[in-house]
Amino acid sequence: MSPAPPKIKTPYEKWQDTINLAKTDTRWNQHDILISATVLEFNGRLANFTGYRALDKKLIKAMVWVESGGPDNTAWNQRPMQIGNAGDPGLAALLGGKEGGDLILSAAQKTTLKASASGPGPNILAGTAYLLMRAASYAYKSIPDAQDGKVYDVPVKSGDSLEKIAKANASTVEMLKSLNPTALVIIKPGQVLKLKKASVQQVITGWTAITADFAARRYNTRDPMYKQKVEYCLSLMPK
Amino acid sequence: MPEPDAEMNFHIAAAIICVLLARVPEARADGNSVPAGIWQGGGRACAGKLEITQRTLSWRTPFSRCVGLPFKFSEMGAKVGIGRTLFTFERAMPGCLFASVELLRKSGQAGQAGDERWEVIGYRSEAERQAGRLDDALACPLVRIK
Repeated sequence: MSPAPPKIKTPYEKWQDTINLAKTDTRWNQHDILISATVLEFNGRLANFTGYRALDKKLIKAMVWVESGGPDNTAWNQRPMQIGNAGDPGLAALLGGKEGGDLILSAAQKTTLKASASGPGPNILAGTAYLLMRAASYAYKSIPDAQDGKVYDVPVKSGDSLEKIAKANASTVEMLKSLNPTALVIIKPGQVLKLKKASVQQVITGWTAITADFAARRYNTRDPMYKQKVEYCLSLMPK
Repeated sequence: MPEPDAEMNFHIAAAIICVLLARVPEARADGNSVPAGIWQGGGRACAGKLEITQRTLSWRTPFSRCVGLPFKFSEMGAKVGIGRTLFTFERAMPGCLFASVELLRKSGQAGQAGDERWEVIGYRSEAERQAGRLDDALACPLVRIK
Protein backbone atom coordinates (compact mmCIF):
# COMPACT_ATOMS: atom_id res chain seq x y z
CA MET A 1 0.00 0.00 0.00
CA SER A 2 1.44 3.37 -0.96
CA PRO A 3 1.85 5.91 1.84
CA ALA A 4 -0.80 8.63 2.15
CA PRO A 5 0.18 11.86 0.41
CA PRO A 6 1.33 14.58 2.81
CA LYS A 7 -1.54 16.74 4.06
CA ILE A 8 -1.59 20.21 2.54
CA LYS A 9 -1.37 22.73 5.36
CA THR A 10 -3.76 25.63 5.65
CA PRO A 11 -2.30 29.15 5.88
CA TYR A 12 -3.18 29.12 9.59
CA GLU A 13 -1.29 25.85 10.10
CA LYS A 14 1.73 27.28 8.26
CA TRP A 15 1.54 30.36 10.49
CA GLN A 16 1.40 28.06 13.54
CA ASP A 17 4.57 26.31 12.32
CA THR A 18 6.44 29.60 12.60
CA ILE A 19 4.95 30.50 15.97
CA ASN A 20 5.82 27.03 17.28
CA LEU A 21 9.49 27.99 16.97
CA ALA A 22 8.89 30.04 20.13
CA LYS A 23 8.71 26.79 22.10
CA THR A 24 12.44 26.23 21.74
CA ASP A 25 13.91 29.55 20.56
CA THR A 26 14.50 31.88 23.52
CA ARG A 27 14.87 34.90 21.21
CA TRP A 28 11.07 35.05 21.17
CA ASN A 29 11.35 36.29 24.79
CA GLN A 30 13.79 39.12 23.94
CA HIS A 31 11.18 41.86 24.43
CA ASP A 32 9.85 40.52 27.75
CA ILE A 33 11.56 43.17 29.90
CA LEU A 34 10.33 46.00 27.67
CA ILE A 35 6.80 44.63 27.65
CA SER A 36 6.76 44.13 31.43
CA ALA A 37 8.08 47.65 32.10
CA THR A 38 5.58 49.24 29.71
CA VAL A 39 2.58 47.34 31.07
CA LEU A 40 3.66 47.94 34.68
CA GLU A 41 3.89 51.69 34.07
CA PHE A 42 0.42 51.88 32.52
CA ASN A 43 -1.14 49.63 35.15
CA GLY A 44 0.36 51.82 37.89
CA ARG A 45 -0.78 55.12 36.43
CA LEU A 46 -4.23 54.08 35.21
CA ALA A 47 -5.15 52.07 38.32
CA ASN A 48 -6.79 55.18 39.81
CA PHE A 49 -9.40 55.34 37.06
CA THR A 50 -12.69 53.72 38.07
CA GLY A 51 -13.23 50.40 36.35
CA TYR A 52 -9.66 50.00 35.08
CA ARG A 53 -8.64 46.36 34.84
CA ALA A 54 -4.92 45.63 34.90
CA LEU A 55 -3.56 44.87 31.44
CA ASP A 56 -2.01 41.40 31.04
CA LYS A 57 1.58 41.61 29.78
CA LYS A 58 1.18 38.20 28.14
CA LEU A 59 -1.50 39.62 25.86
CA ILE A 60 0.93 42.30 24.64
CA LYS A 61 3.61 39.66 24.16
CA ALA A 62 1.17 37.54 22.14
CA MET A 63 0.28 40.55 20.00
CA VAL A 64 3.99 41.23 19.39
CA TRP A 65 4.40 37.64 18.19
CA VAL A 66 1.41 37.88 15.85
CA GLU A 67 2.20 41.35 14.53
CA SER A 68 5.93 40.84 13.94
CA GLY A 69 6.02 37.13 13.13
CA GLY A 70 8.95 36.60 15.48
CA PRO A 71 12.62 37.47 15.83
CA ASP A 72 13.66 36.45 12.30
CA ASN A 73 11.58 39.25 10.82
CA THR A 74 12.51 42.88 10.27
CA ALA A 75 9.43 44.08 12.17
CA TRP A 76 10.66 42.42 15.38
CA ASN A 77 13.23 45.17 15.86
CA GLN A 78 11.66 47.88 13.73
CA ARG A 79 7.96 47.99 14.64
CA PRO A 80 7.06 44.86 16.61
CA MET A 81 3.46 46.02 17.16
CA GLN A 82 3.15 47.30 13.57
CA ILE A 83 1.84 50.71 14.60
CA GLY A 84 3.29 53.86 13.02
CA ASN A 85 3.73 52.42 9.54
CA ALA A 86 3.20 54.67 6.53
CA GLY A 87 -0.49 55.36 5.98
CA ASP A 88 -1.58 54.03 9.39
CA PRO A 89 -3.67 56.70 11.16
CA GLY A 90 -3.29 54.98 14.55
CA LEU A 91 -0.22 56.81 15.80
CA ALA A 92 -1.60 60.21 14.75
CA ALA A 93 -4.83 59.38 16.60
CA LEU A 94 -2.83 58.50 19.72
CA LEU A 95 -0.74 61.67 19.63
CA GLY A 96 -3.35 64.05 18.22
CA GLY A 97 -4.94 64.87 21.56
CA LYS A 98 -8.54 64.43 20.38
CA GLU A 99 -9.20 60.74 20.87
CA GLY A 100 -8.06 60.29 24.46
CA GLY A 101 -4.35 59.60 23.97
CA ASP A 102 -3.38 62.43 26.32
CA LEU A 103 -5.25 60.70 29.14
CA ILE A 104 -3.38 57.44 28.52
CA LEU A 105 0.16 58.69 27.87
CA SER A 106 2.32 60.59 30.33
CA ALA A 107 3.96 63.77 29.03
CA ALA A 108 7.31 61.98 28.88
CA GLN A 109 5.86 59.05 26.92
CA LYS A 110 4.23 61.44 24.46
CA THR A 111 7.53 63.24 23.93
CA THR A 112 9.24 59.91 23.26
CA LEU A 113 6.65 58.89 20.68
CA LYS A 114 6.62 62.27 18.96
CA ALA A 115 10.34 61.81 18.33
CA SER A 116 9.89 58.29 16.92
CA ALA A 117 7.72 55.22 17.32
CA SER A 118 10.27 52.94 15.68
CA GLY A 119 12.36 50.45 17.60
CA PRO A 120 11.09 47.84 20.06
CA GLY A 121 10.68 50.15 23.10
CA PRO A 122 8.80 53.03 21.45
CA ASN A 123 6.72 50.76 19.23
CA ILE A 124 5.59 48.52 22.08
CA LEU A 125 4.80 51.69 24.05
CA ALA A 126 2.77 53.10 21.14
CA GLY A 127 0.91 49.85 20.46
CA THR A 128 0.04 49.32 24.11
CA ALA A 129 -1.07 52.94 24.55
CA TYR A 130 -3.22 52.75 21.41
CA LEU A 131 -4.89 49.59 22.69
CA LEU A 132 -5.60 51.27 26.05
CA MET A 133 -6.88 54.41 24.33
CA ARG A 134 -9.40 52.29 22.43
CA ALA A 135 -10.40 50.41 25.61
CA ALA A 136 -11.39 53.59 27.47
CA SER A 137 -14.73 55.35 27.11
CA TYR A 138 -14.79 59.10 27.25
CA ALA A 139 -17.06 62.04 27.99
CA TYR A 140 -16.61 65.79 28.18
CA LYS A 141 -17.22 67.13 31.69
CA SER A 142 -16.91 70.39 33.59
CA ILE A 143 -13.86 70.07 35.80
CA PRO A 144 -13.14 72.59 38.61
CA ASP A 145 -9.84 74.43 38.33
CA ALA A 146 -7.35 72.55 40.49
CA GLN A 147 -5.32 75.72 41.20
CA ASP A 148 -8.17 78.07 42.06
CA GLY A 149 -10.95 76.67 44.23
CA LYS A 150 -12.32 80.04 45.36
CA VAL A 151 -16.02 80.92 44.99
CA TYR A 152 -16.50 84.30 43.31
CA ASP A 153 -19.54 86.60 43.34
CA VAL A 154 -20.31 87.79 39.80
CA PRO A 155 -22.96 90.49 39.22
CA VAL A 156 -25.16 89.98 36.17
CA LYS A 157 -25.04 92.83 33.65
CA SER A 158 -27.55 93.77 31.01
CA GLY A 159 -27.29 91.41 28.00
CA ASP A 160 -25.51 88.65 29.97
CA SER A 161 -26.21 84.96 29.51
CA LEU A 162 -24.82 81.99 31.45
CA GLU A 163 -22.57 81.19 28.47
CA LYS A 164 -21.25 84.76 28.34
CA ILE A 165 -20.58 84.91 32.08
CA ALA A 166 -18.89 81.48 32.07
CA LYS A 167 -16.65 82.41 29.13
CA ALA A 168 -15.70 85.81 30.59
CA ASN A 169 -14.74 84.28 33.94
CA ALA A 170 -12.90 81.08 32.88
CA SER A 171 -15.72 78.85 34.04
CA THR A 172 -18.44 76.66 32.54
CA VAL A 173 -22.22 76.80 32.28
CA GLU A 174 -22.38 73.49 34.17
CA MET A 175 -20.41 75.00 37.06
CA LEU A 176 -22.70 78.08 37.14
CA LYS A 177 -25.80 75.89 37.14
CA SER A 178 -24.48 73.71 39.94
CA LEU A 179 -23.63 76.71 42.16
CA ASN A 180 -26.79 78.69 41.33
CA PRO A 181 -29.63 76.16 41.12
CA THR A 182 -32.31 78.86 41.49
CA ALA A 183 -30.97 80.95 38.61
CA LEU A 184 -31.37 78.29 35.97
CA VAL A 185 -34.24 79.70 33.92
CA ILE A 186 -33.87 83.48 33.84
CA ILE A 187 -31.03 85.71 34.98
CA LYS A 188 -31.59 89.41 35.57
CA PRO A 189 -29.24 92.39 35.68
CA GLY A 190 -28.20 93.12 39.27
CA GLN A 191 -28.49 89.48 40.29
CA VAL A 192 -25.28 88.05 41.84
CA LEU A 193 -24.18 84.57 40.78
CA LYS A 194 -21.74 82.27 42.55
CA LEU A 195 -18.89 81.15 40.28
CA LYS A 196 -15.89 78.81 40.51
CA LYS A 197 -13.31 78.56 37.78
CA ALA A 198 -13.65 75.43 35.66
CA SER A 199 -13.13 74.08 32.16
CA VAL A 200 -14.70 71.41 29.96
CA GLN A 201 -12.30 68.52 29.62
CA GLN A 202 -12.27 65.02 28.16
CA VAL A 203 -12.37 62.43 30.94
CA ILE A 204 -12.36 58.66 31.09
CA THR A 205 -15.70 57.27 32.20
CA GLY A 206 -15.12 53.53 31.88
CA TRP A 207 -13.07 50.68 30.46
CA THR A 208 -13.62 47.66 28.26
CA ALA A 209 -11.68 44.56 29.28
CA ILE A 210 -8.68 44.07 27.00
CA THR A 211 -8.74 40.53 25.64
CA ALA A 212 -7.73 38.78 22.42
CA ASP A 213 -11.25 39.41 21.16
CA PHE A 214 -11.00 43.12 21.98
CA ALA A 215 -7.61 43.36 20.22
CA ALA A 216 -9.15 41.74 17.14
CA ARG A 217 -12.01 44.24 17.15
CA ARG A 218 -10.05 47.41 17.95
CA TYR A 219 -6.36 46.89 17.14
CA ASN A 220 -6.16 44.61 14.11
CA THR A 221 -9.51 44.60 12.40
CA ARG A 222 -8.42 43.26 8.99
CA ASP A 223 -7.10 39.82 9.92
CA PRO A 224 -10.11 37.48 10.34
CA MET A 225 -7.92 35.02 12.28
CA TYR A 226 -6.41 37.59 14.65
CA LYS A 227 -8.27 36.49 17.79
CA GLN A 228 -7.39 32.83 17.19
CA LYS A 229 -3.78 33.74 16.51
CA VAL A 230 -3.40 35.78 19.70
CA GLU A 231 -5.08 33.01 21.71
CA TYR A 232 -2.78 30.42 20.14
CA CYS A 233 0.27 32.46 21.14
CA LEU A 234 -1.11 32.80 24.68
CA SER A 235 -1.55 29.02 24.83
CA LEU A 236 2.19 28.56 24.22
CA MET A 237 3.19 30.77 27.15
CA PRO A 238 3.74 29.35 30.63
CA LYS A 239 0.71 29.81 32.91
CA MET B 1 2.59 29.05 -52.03
CA PRO B 2 2.02 26.55 -49.19
CA GLU B 3 -0.69 23.92 -49.43
CA PRO B 4 -3.89 24.85 -47.47
CA ASP B 5 -3.28 21.97 -44.99
CA ALA B 6 0.33 23.01 -44.44
CA GLU B 7 -0.76 26.60 -43.85
CA MET B 8 -3.33 25.45 -41.29
CA ASN B 9 -0.71 23.32 -39.55
CA PHE B 10 1.65 26.28 -39.47
CA HIS B 11 -0.99 28.46 -37.77
CA ILE B 12 -1.86 25.76 -35.24
CA ALA B 13 1.81 25.26 -34.40
CA ALA B 14 2.31 29.02 -34.01
CA ALA B 15 -0.69 29.22 -31.71
CA ILE B 16 0.60 26.34 -29.57
CA ILE B 17 4.03 27.97 -29.29
CA CYS B 18 2.41 31.27 -28.23
CA VAL B 19 0.36 29.52 -25.51
CA LEU B 20 3.44 27.64 -24.25
CA LEU B 21 5.55 30.80 -24.17
CA ALA B 22 2.87 32.56 -22.14
CA ARG B 23 2.98 29.78 -19.52
CA VAL B 24 6.72 29.43 -19.15
CA PRO B 25 8.22 31.59 -16.37
CA GLU B 26 9.96 34.48 -17.99
CA ALA B 27 13.66 33.74 -18.15
CA ARG B 28 15.71 36.86 -17.61
CA ALA B 29 19.14 37.70 -18.86
CA ASP B 30 20.65 36.38 -15.64
CA GLY B 31 18.80 33.09 -16.01
CA ASN B 32 16.48 33.72 -13.07
CA SER B 33 12.72 33.45 -13.25
CA VAL B 34 10.12 35.47 -11.40
CA PRO B 35 9.09 33.71 -8.17
CA ALA B 36 5.37 33.90 -8.89
CA GLY B 37 2.88 33.01 -6.19
CA ILE B 38 0.40 34.26 -3.61
CA TRP B 39 1.24 35.09 -0.01
CA GLN B 40 -0.86 36.19 2.95
CA GLY B 41 0.07 38.75 5.61
CA GLY B 42 -1.62 39.23 8.94
CA GLY B 43 -0.38 42.19 11.03
CA ARG B 44 -2.16 45.48 11.77
CA ALA B 45 -0.50 47.09 8.73
CA CYS B 46 0.10 43.82 6.87
CA ALA B 47 -3.19 41.92 6.71
CA GLY B 48 -3.82 41.23 3.05
CA LYS B 49 -2.30 39.54 0.04
CA LEU B 50 0.81 39.71 -2.07
CA GLU B 51 0.31 38.30 -5.57
CA ILE B 52 3.18 38.03 -8.01
CA THR B 53 2.70 36.93 -11.59
CA GLN B 54 5.24 36.85 -14.39
CA ARG B 55 4.47 40.43 -15.31
CA THR B 56 2.73 42.21 -12.45
CA LEU B 57 2.76 42.52 -8.68
CA SER B 58 -0.22 43.31 -6.45
CA TRP B 59 0.18 43.99 -2.71
CA ARG B 60 -2.96 44.86 -0.84
CA THR B 61 -2.62 45.90 2.81
CA PRO B 62 -4.88 47.97 5.10
CA PHE B 63 -3.08 51.25 4.38
CA SER B 64 -1.71 50.76 0.88
CA ARG B 65 -3.03 49.25 -2.36
CA CYS B 66 -0.64 48.37 -5.15
CA VAL B 67 -2.55 46.51 -7.86
CA GLY B 68 -1.32 44.97 -11.09
CA LEU B 69 1.89 46.99 -11.26
CA PRO B 70 4.51 45.99 -13.83
CA PHE B 71 7.99 45.65 -12.38
CA LYS B 72 11.66 45.24 -13.05
CA PHE B 73 12.94 42.23 -11.20
CA SER B 74 16.34 41.24 -9.90
CA GLU B 75 17.79 38.65 -7.60
CA MET B 76 19.73 40.26 -4.79
CA GLY B 77 22.79 38.63 -3.32
CA ALA B 78 21.60 35.93 -0.91
CA LYS B 79 22.78 35.75 2.67
CA VAL B 80 23.06 32.33 4.27
CA GLY B 81 19.58 30.86 4.35
CA ILE B 82 17.90 33.99 2.96
CA GLY B 83 17.01 34.54 -0.69
CA ARG B 84 16.14 38.10 -1.70
CA THR B 85 14.26 39.23 -4.78
CA LEU B 86 13.68 42.86 -5.61
CA PHE B 87 10.70 44.13 -7.60
CA THR B 88 10.97 47.76 -8.65
CA PHE B 89 7.69 49.15 -9.93
CA GLU B 90 7.81 50.60 -13.42
CA ARG B 91 5.18 53.17 -12.56
CA ALA B 92 3.54 54.73 -9.51
CA MET B 93 -0.10 54.23 -8.55
CA PRO B 94 -2.33 56.46 -6.41
CA GLY B 95 -2.86 54.71 -3.07
CA CYS B 96 0.26 52.59 -3.47
CA LEU B 97 2.84 53.82 -0.98
CA PHE B 98 5.82 51.91 -2.28
CA ALA B 99 8.33 52.28 -5.09
CA SER B 100 9.83 48.82 -4.70
CA VAL B 101 9.17 45.58 -2.89
CA GLU B 102 11.70 43.09 -1.61
CA LEU B 103 10.63 39.47 -1.12
CA LEU B 104 12.70 37.42 1.31
CA ARG B 105 12.65 33.65 1.53
CA LYS B 106 14.12 32.22 4.69
CA SER B 107 14.85 28.55 4.84
CA GLY B 108 15.59 26.64 8.00
CA GLN B 109 16.73 23.08 8.29
CA ALA B 110 14.87 20.83 5.87
CA GLY B 111 11.82 19.21 7.37
CA GLN B 112 11.82 21.46 10.42
CA ALA B 113 8.64 23.19 11.46
CA GLY B 114 8.55 26.68 10.05
CA ASP B 115 10.97 25.53 7.35
CA GLU B 116 9.69 27.92 4.71
CA ARG B 117 9.28 31.46 5.97
CA TRP B 118 8.68 34.57 3.92
CA GLU B 119 8.82 38.28 4.47
CA VAL B 120 8.09 41.29 2.29
CA ILE B 121 9.52 44.77 2.71
CA GLY B 122 8.03 47.74 0.89
CA TYR B 123 10.28 50.78 0.35
CA ARG B 124 8.90 54.26 -0.27
CA SER B 125 11.79 55.18 -2.56
CA GLU B 126 14.78 53.65 -4.28
CA ALA B 127 17.07 55.95 -2.30
CA GLU B 128 15.70 54.61 0.99
CA ARG B 129 16.12 51.03 -0.16
CA GLN B 130 19.67 51.55 -1.30
CA ALA B 131 20.51 53.26 1.98
CA GLY B 132 18.89 50.38 3.89
CA ARG B 133 16.63 52.85 5.71
CA LEU B 134 13.67 51.13 7.26
CA ASP B 135 12.03 54.11 9.02
CA ASP B 136 9.34 54.45 6.36
CA ALA B 137 9.48 50.90 5.07
CA LEU B 138 6.74 48.36 5.75
CA ALA B 139 8.07 44.94 6.74
CA CYS B 140 5.54 42.11 6.90
CA PRO B 141 5.85 38.42 7.72
CA LEU B 142 4.06 36.27 5.15
CA VAL B 143 2.66 32.79 4.67
CA ARG B 144 2.71 31.36 1.17
CA ILE B 145 -0.70 30.14 0.10
CA LYS B 146 -0.05 29.31 -3.56
